[in-house]
Amino acid sequence: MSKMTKKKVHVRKGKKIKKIINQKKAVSKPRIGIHSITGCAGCQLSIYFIEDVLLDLLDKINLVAAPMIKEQNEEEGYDVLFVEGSVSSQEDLDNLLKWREKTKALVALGACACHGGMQSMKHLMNEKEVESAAYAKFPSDPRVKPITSVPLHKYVKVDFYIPGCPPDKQEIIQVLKHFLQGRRLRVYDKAVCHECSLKENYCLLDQGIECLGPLINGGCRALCPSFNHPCTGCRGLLDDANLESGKQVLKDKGFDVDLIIKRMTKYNSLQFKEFEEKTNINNKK
Amino acid sequence: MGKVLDKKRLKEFLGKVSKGKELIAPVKRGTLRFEIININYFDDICLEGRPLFSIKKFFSPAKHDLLKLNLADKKKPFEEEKTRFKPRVIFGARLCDFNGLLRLDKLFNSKEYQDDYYKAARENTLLIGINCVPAPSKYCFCESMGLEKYYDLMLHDMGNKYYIEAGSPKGEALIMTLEDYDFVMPEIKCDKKLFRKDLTQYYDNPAWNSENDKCLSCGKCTSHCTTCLCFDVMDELEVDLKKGKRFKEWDSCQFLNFTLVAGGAIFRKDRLSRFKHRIYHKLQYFREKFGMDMCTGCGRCIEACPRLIDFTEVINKFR
Ligand code: SF4
Ligand code: SF4
Ligand code: SF4
Ligand code: SF4
Ligand code: SF4
Repeated sequence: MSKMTKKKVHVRKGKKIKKIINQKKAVSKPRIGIHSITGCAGCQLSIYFIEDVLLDLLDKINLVAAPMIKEQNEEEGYDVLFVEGSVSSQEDLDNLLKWREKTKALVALGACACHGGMQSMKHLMNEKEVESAAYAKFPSDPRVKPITSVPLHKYVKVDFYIPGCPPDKQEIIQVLKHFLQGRRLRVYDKAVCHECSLKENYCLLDQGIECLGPLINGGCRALCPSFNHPCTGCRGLLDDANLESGKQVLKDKGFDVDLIIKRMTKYNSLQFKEFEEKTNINNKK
Repeated sequence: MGKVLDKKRLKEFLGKVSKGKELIAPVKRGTLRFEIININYFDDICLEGRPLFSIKKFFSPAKHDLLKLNLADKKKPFEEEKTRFKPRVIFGARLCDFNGLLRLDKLFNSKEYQDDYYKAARENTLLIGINCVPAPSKYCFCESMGLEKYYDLMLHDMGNKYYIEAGSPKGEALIMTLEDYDFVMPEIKCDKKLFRKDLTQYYDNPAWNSENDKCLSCGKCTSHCTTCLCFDVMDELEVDLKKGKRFKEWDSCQFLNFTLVAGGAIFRKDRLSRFKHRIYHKLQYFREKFGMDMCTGCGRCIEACPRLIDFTEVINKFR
């Protein structure tokens, strides 16, 4: 290695990725994989929808596993592995644990992988009831034996998150470009309201529409409110979301508490439950 | 003493003043907003109410490119974005908007931190205001903020005519040929008041807590503020990983990671310290540094807040 490449690069964690990619550069392009557990596969499709620059990107990487679009897929030696879906069955879990061993960096792709998604609503319901509604009629196949679905980071280390339902094409491109440069992209961590205000949108709350923007992590360039559609939280709750105040905003506008909670938990039941537990503990203190 | 202009002649007057320039005025598009318009759409101009977003975006845009990157060129990997500037006329803004510029000047037009785009925008923009009698919003409290009579021209609505006063030689030249009129520009009166005081001793006052409990840290108060100027700087490369740009984008001290530094430390982790920081920056720190409050009493932060959080109510409790 030359003196230059040995020089310490002050990029947190990005350092490791840079090393991985530099090592590979001499031999080959970075080996990228795309795998799927329980979800709708829409996240993967978002990758293939990057038509405008997909070919340029493919030129720079080695797509070694993408079962949705390729017949020949390699099972190991990934530099970066994208995983979509949430852990919802024993088979999902076995696969995830196996993949984590085979990759240097793991990216959680989409709302399900990052926050649990819709299938995680069991966290707020009676698990047995939900389960029997879906599976009682069928002799259960041990492979699909449901487990309460959780996002990837509940079982394995996740190196980067691309939230959203579906995830944003531009963000996926950004992440890939940053990996190729050996830099770590900053996770967007400002409220949806911020990007909405930068665009000078007419606030939906002011129009009497139940938008969740003030509670939700942005990065989507306020896609939904920009088309007069309320944010339903597909990018997850902010790390320090003020749920109580958020509920009050909507109550003040005359919305029904039940509807408010349904909206908030559409993608983020687990996060919602964890927030509520934290508030309850604090209130007891 | 000022001048008088028949309302029917306003279009003609604005047309003349903005000839060869961009005309910016409040128009109603869903909601009231400042936009660049063509004088032929004069009838779209709406002077009722004040837009929820101020004119700061025309001086320090929400998103703005700073550098062109070309990493392949080892000798010249980056180049500054050139500032090309078409002169502008802002019509129909308010005294609080113009006073906001005096605050932004302290940083963006200062020796140490001069922002070329801002400076060019300032030098090439004519400021024509409309007097706030009556105050356009119930959230306005500029009367308490000791604003300066800062404008090129100020119009006062007198029914079928405007009384016009000049605040600069540039403004004077524009109205020279109009008819003289003996009148005194009425002062702005606001229902909402702020009893300004030294806030040092109130930092730990529990009165902040109940308002802070409502705060969502959504940043709407700062993005809508007439004087907030914080921004973030980011790089973006094209797929060739060579060409790209560095740009800036408004930021807000209300966000958790606003004070995140290398190594992972966050200086204002708890919401309360962030909540108070905004208000102390507006009404204490800025004054200590620059001799004026960083708030013009426009009331935008209150009106834009999803919980209508109003710092004047907290401060007025301190006696
Ligand atoms: S429309 Fe929604 S996201 Fe936009 S500012 Fe209003 S609440 Fe926030
Ligand atoms: S506005 Fe909300 S629901 Fe829409 S894409 Fe953004 S985070 Fe998802
Ligand atoms: S707009 Fe209101 S809720 Fe949002 S950060 Fe500002 S004070 Fe808090
Ligand atoms: S702090 Fe509020 S009232 Fe003061 S200038 Fe900013 S938006 Fe206007
Ligand atoms: S209040 Fe916050 S966002 Fe506004 S100028 Fe001060 S530090 Fe910046």
